[in-house]
Amino acid sequence: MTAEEIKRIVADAIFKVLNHRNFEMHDGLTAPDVEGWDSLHHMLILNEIENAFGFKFKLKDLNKMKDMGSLVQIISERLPS
Amino acid sequence: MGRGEDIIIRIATKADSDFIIEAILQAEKSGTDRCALLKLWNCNENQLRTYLRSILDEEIDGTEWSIDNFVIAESSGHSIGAFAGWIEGENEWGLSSSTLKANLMKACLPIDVIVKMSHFQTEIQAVQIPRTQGALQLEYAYVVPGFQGKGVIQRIVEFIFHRYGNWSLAEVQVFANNSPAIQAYSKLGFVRTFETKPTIEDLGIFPYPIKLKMTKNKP
Repeated sequence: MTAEEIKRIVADAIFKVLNHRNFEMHDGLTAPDVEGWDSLHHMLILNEIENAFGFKFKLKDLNKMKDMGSLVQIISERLPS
Repeated sequence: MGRGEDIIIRIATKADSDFIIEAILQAEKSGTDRCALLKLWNCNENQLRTYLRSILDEEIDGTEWSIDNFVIAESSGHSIGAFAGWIEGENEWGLSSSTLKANLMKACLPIDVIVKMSHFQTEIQAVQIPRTQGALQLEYAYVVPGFQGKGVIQRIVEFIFHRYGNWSLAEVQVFANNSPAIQAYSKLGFVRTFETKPTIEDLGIFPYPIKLKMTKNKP
């Protein structure tokens, strides 16, 4: 799966929780850049992403997530090659 | 100090888990019978202790849910007080304590608990006070009955000040009804710098609808 395909799925997960698409999916995107992405919704968005990709993040993965680029990288590493 | 003369202050270890969990529970109540975590996590006290233990077992520094960040007061071999302290944002990942706590909850709580907690978003936000990046944070002060009012918190805070010797700003958050804590922090040189507004109906989740931030600059 390409980075762009992962981003599209992540964008859908964000939309499912926040109910808007007022954000651009670039590698530098962080939670504060997206309206409504607070710590409570952060947990729900991560859950939606897990459901979409069919795996659970480990805590060490969660703590490595600094921005969209690192999130996509972590997902990419977890997907079967 | 009378009964407090034999008090020793030390950094917590994993063996202190039970006492730290008790400290978190009592500090959350802030002198009332309301424990927000019980309501937000929709659980009983036994379940809450289990959740907190699994969170503490992750050993993630940089929040009030870290054993390493706790300092313990001990008298005659018994734990009598606890307080957590850390430098906001100074951790292995450079993350804020609120993000680390969200990650810990995501990793340690069932998803249905998180979904139910999200229904209280407005109530949670009403008492949320941002923490200053790089500032020394103090959270979850607790002293067992019988040792309260004997300067135990002051002793622990002085230990924490020494532990993080390079701090320049210290912050503590306290519900506005907790007069003994506010007095203790004032004695230590903390002053009120912010208070939340009770903009919503009090649903009985938090001990009090108004929370204060008190700060102290290093002399």
